[in-house]
Amino acid sequence: MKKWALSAIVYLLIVVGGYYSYTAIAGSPVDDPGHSDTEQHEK
Amino acid sequence: MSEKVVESQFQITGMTCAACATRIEKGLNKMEGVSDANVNLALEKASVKFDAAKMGPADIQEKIRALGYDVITEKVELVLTGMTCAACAIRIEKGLNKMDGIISANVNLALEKAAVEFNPSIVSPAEMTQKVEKLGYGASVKSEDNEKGTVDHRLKEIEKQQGKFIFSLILSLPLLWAMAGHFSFTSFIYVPEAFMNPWVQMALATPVQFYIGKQFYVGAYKALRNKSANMDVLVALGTSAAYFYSLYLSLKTIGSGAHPEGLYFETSAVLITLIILGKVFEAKAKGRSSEAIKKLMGLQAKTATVIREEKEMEIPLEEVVAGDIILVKPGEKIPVDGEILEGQSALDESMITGESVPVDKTVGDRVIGATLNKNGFIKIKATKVGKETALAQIIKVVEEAQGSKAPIQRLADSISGVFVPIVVGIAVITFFVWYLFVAPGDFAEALEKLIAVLVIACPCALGLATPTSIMAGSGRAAEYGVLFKGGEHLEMTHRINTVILDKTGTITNGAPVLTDVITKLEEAEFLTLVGSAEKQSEHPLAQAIVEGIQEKNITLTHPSAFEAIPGYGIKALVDGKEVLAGTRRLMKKFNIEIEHVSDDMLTLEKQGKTAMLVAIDGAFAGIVAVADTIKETSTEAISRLKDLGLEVIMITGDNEQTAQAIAKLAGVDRVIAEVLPEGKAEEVKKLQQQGKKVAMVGDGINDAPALAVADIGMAIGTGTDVAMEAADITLIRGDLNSIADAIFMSKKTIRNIKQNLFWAFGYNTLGIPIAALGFLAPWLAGAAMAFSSVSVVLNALRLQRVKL
Repeated sequence: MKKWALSAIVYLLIVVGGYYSYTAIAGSPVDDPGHSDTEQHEK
Repeated sequence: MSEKVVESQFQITGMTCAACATRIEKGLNKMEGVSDANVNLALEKASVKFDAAKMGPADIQEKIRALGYDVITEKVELVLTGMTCAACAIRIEKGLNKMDGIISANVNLALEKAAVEFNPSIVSPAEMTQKVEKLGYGASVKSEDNEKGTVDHRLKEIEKQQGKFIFSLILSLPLLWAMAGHFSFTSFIYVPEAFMNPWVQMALATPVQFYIGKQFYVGAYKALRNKSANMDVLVALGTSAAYFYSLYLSLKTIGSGAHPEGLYFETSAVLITLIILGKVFEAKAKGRSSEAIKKLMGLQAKTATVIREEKEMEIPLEEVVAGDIILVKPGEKIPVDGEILEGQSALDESMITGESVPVDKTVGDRVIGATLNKNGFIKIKATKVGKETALAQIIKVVEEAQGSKAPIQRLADSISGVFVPIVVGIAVITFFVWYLFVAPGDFAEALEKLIAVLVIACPCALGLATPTSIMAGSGRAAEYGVLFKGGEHLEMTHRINTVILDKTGTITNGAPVLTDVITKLEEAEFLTLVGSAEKQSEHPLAQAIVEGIQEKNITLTHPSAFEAIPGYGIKALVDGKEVLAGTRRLMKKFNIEIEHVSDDMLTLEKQGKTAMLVAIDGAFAGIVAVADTIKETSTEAISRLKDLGLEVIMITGDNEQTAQAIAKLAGVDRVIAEVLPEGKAEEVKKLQQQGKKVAMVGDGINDAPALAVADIGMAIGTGTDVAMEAADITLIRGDLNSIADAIFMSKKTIRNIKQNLFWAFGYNTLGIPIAALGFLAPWLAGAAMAFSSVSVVLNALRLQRVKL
């Protein structure tokens, strides 16, 4: 069980770390105007 | 229908001459669908060519049995792995039943076992396991090793599913967190920028979809390959639709710099997480529902102290052989079934009979393995060991009952079989209705409804509804000493409206005891003379008199002369006095005046007692009477049956007067007297012809024909031998209260099954339209689906707490 939890946390950290590293290198991502799927979920 | 001729061999028993062979041959050739039947008397084999489209080996076997012969079949239990829902169980069952030589195959999803009756000359268990493996599942023939393996496998499976759940939960939580940012009412919640990014979302959802969700794809592939569909197909379809649609939207925006709208990565990931969680709960609950067997197995002693070559030695239970002399100290468990050679003790038999009061046992008494020796040091001789012991037999019966199917399950099975394709159809229709009419052109909206329908409709609860209740109900009943032989009996018992009770050994103790002493002499002196005279007699009534007198602490002497006069009684010389004891005819023979006691005699006989006249030195001295006494619990038990609204009838071979007397004492209103054992079955049939559902309760040996004919045969006994074989239910306690317990347990179980089926059916029939109308978000549908199975199993587990 620990193995599974640890793998998931490590993977999550890599993904999030990767994202922030990328944005640090490539600059801030475009503001999130489009991710307004609020309507979608609220329907 | 096209003709598919196959040839099968049947090993037949019971043929004595060529005429038998011809009879079977003719009988088989007359059957519709049989093209050629040959019976070889010497080999005791029948070769039958038949059209498999019209009939199966089971029909042929039935015909041979109807002709008065028997077919040798074997039974095997396969331990199965890899089933995910009722549709898998049905597929394996169908696959096995299609094989040549399989008489019947029953797959129990909850137990993960297949009970197969087969013709060993046509098919082998190895071929069956190969067939199951071809269908995409794992199978092995049940043995003690793989039984342990099953438990290990289950534990490993639970552990693995728990790990998978944790993994997908950790990756799904950020996606859920991101979703919180989408709703206006949760918009105040801070959502890290990373979690809103579609590529991060995809990176988190992908391992959940394909690594954790691999089991659904594999299951769906296996099902589709075999031209059927199961819950894996629905889960795989639903989650894939959400995942690939989101992926498509994400890819579409590459290069545009914009973030895509309407992503459903969280839907697919959360769905899989919830379904895996449901599986964890389900696996845990399944393990608990087979607890009855584990409990029974745990009752066995691990070792036994035996005396071999005059030495005491402690050996493992498996090494004890019949005939071993075993020492059992106070507080120890009796290792195997046996007979007491030395010592006496009170034995706690509650674990086997459900009877809470310890039973006193002494030399010559039978003891049951796994019961607890409370206070005395006893030496026993092992009579039954290994699979022969009462406990092993009980375990076998309970296992078979738990693995069997109740007729009510057929409905659920047939529905689960066609459910998935219908649901896929409904989902597609829902999609188009939304896409074309309700929200024209809104692909995302229509897709969401499609996913919700696919996910809410998984028929897992339907597949678990009946077997889990049967397992829990029959297991709980076994703990109270009521052994149902199969699910069908558990279902039938609640329909019973008439109970026929055999008299001797069922209502009564079955052993005569001294009941009355009438004399004008001093009682002790009178009894000393009668007891001493009867001591030499081997007649059961004489033995009852001697035992009764000895219980009064009267010391008996040895007669100086003794003569048994068959049909009359005895004549003996005790302490110089001539004692005559016997019937009226004996008194007449010796010219003894008995006219003045004829009223006493009549009164005793009306009470169902056997009176014996005694004369001392040529003069009438008194009467001793013996009778088979009513069991202490019979009157209360019969009144319980009446309270349940059942008609209670006593059946006996005794004369009307005696029978009426016993019936009155026991509280039975209707008596069928002077019936021979073979006539009992006829009486049962007569009642059935009047439209009654009859339960026959007897001691299982002389009542066997009636037990077999009755709608439910209940054997009162010790749970071994003929009784177990003849009856549908064995009541291990020799107490009639178990009849009411059995009926009560059957009613409870059937009510539980109906609740489960209602819940499972209702859940799907309500859930699908709600999802199709768009009132159910996919993740909610997933949660509801996961917990529907869990709720069904938990409801069944309530049966384990039923108090009788």
